[in-house]
Amino acid sequence: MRLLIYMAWEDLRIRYSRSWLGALWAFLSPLLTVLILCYVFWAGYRNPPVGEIPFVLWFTAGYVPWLFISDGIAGGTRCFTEYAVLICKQRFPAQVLPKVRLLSSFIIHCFFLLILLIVRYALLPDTPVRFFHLLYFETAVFLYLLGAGYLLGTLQIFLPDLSDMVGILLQLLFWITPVLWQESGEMRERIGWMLAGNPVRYLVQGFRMSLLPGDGRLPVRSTLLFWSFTGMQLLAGSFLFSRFSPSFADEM
Amino acid sequence: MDNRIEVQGLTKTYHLYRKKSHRIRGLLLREEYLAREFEALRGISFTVAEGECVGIIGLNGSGKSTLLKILSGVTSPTEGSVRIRGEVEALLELGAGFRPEDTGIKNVERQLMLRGLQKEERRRRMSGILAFAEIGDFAFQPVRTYSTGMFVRLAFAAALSIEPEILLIDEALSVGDVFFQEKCFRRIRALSGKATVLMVSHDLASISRFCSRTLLLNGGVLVYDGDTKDAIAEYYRIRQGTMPCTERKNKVEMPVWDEPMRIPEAGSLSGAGQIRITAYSWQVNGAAFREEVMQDDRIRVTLSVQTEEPTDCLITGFQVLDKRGMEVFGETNLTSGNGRFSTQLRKGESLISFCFSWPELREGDYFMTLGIGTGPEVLCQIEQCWVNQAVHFVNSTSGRLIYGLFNRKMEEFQIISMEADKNE
Repeated sequence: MRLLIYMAWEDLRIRYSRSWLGALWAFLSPLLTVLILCYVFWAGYRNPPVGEIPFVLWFTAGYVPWLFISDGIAGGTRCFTEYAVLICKQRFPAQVLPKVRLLSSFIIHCFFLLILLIVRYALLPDTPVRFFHLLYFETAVFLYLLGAGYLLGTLQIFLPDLSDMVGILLQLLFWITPVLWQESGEMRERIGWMLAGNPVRYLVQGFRMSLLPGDGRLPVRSTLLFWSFTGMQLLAGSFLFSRFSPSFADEM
Repeated sequence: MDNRIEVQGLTKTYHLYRKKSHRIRGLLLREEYLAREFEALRGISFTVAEGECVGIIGLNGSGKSTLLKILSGVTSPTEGSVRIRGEVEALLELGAGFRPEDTGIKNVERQLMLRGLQKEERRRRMSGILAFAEIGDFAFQPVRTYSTGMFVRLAFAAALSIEPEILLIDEALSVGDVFFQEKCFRRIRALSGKATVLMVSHDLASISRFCSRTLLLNGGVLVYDGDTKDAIAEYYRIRQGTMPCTERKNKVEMPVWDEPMRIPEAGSLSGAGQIRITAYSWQVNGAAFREEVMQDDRIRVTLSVQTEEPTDCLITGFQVLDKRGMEVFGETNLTSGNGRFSTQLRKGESLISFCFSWPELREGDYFMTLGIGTGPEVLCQIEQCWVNQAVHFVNSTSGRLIYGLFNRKMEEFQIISMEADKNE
């Protein structure tokens, strides 16, 4: 456990160790992205507020979990290959690496969540945050990303092209997930199953549900679909990992 | 004493694919026929007791490193079992996991952290490591600014600071400067009393220095397990390719030569075998088969040689090795004669003899290997027939102290006082 926390910190530090501001960039660059996007859509396109919620808040509440998810998936995919030295040249428990990656993404995520909560309380001081919901959806993100880390990380060793493919898939995922755009009632009627089948949508909408006022009931259909997807992913990931991890050193 | 390492029937098979796509097909569809199997290790079994120091030698690709990788738990065997009792530290690659951007301290800290040491323990180890590495303030600089020597020092210090019960070393000792190497040797020797050490090396001298027992691997098979000196002799024989041996009638007396000659032991021969050394003899200051030698003694070697094909470019040479298998000196007719000596060999039986004087050397046991080859140059010759460790010599120095392998006399010496004379 101590090793896990230490390695997560190291992971963060190393990712940004070449620059002067160091790990600060981990926070600075998404922060600037949020500011730019908000400015463009608020001042430029003059997006109307969503219900009584200002657009900036509505967007940020979805963008913060999205950042965590995309960072977690991209990082999880490379978790074994980037630590190839540890696996090939030392005796090292490879199973901690997806967790290390997840934890280092989580540290950044915590920082954003904190800012998000502050902004949210400043803009909507009257309605309470649904902390139970937040805890539930954080757990859901964790399990979703953990499964993805084991699955994609193991596959990456045998398919080096995977990390590039994942990069493109994340782009796609960003646009088919209502992070920047809003679902209309008509869309839900027409392609409701497709929307419900996207586990990332479930998480992004879940975060909005926890933080913003509105209906607080979990949608049954997408909850079931999300957990069956996440469960299968975890099973497949741990199966592949346990099947192939003894030969990791031979493959890298 | 208890066995620390027990290896039973260890086999490691790698699958080699000609194309990348074949590997994916092999993985997904289990089309095993696309793979070419390569057995890096085949049915290896041995045990190592507590406190033993065992060397592992073999030609390139004989499976030494694979064996260490399996023992260290980095990779798993295809078949067979490995039982290890105790904490293992493996030095598979010096400074693996060091990040060039980080300072020396930070890197060492990480190594210690990865081994799960507590804070107090880490602090204690850290000061010991820095003292051992002797790199001064460079410890606070990024590792990428280090010289190779400094890097090696720090990496080694970090690895040796962990006091494991089982230490596995792969080829790590052959780097670094001599003084630091010596220091590492001492450290390992201190360790080897308590710890079980397994070392892979091409440096046979250091193997024979540490290990009384040595495993010799050839093509993934354990071909010898026992006394280091014999393992090294066996290693040389494998390196030169074993010669097809024909049974010869044991004739000690040669017709044209009135001295008795020795028939080489079948096992000591190696080489291509078109020209064969059928018998040999030697004299020290005229005394046949004497083994005691001293500086400036005159040594004459006679070889009886048999060939079916005449040659114009015969190379005859000898090499003297110390008991650790280290090559000390040697010479060939080609290089010492500058073309003065004839290199023609006629068909049939011939006698070759040469003479040299014994140099100043540290006392001890030495072995002479005799060899015949053909070719225009020593470095591109075909080794025809080598008699490995044909002659045993015991060198004595009659009480004179040799400070190294040999001495070199001072040629000038004076003392000049730099103090001003008080009377002037």
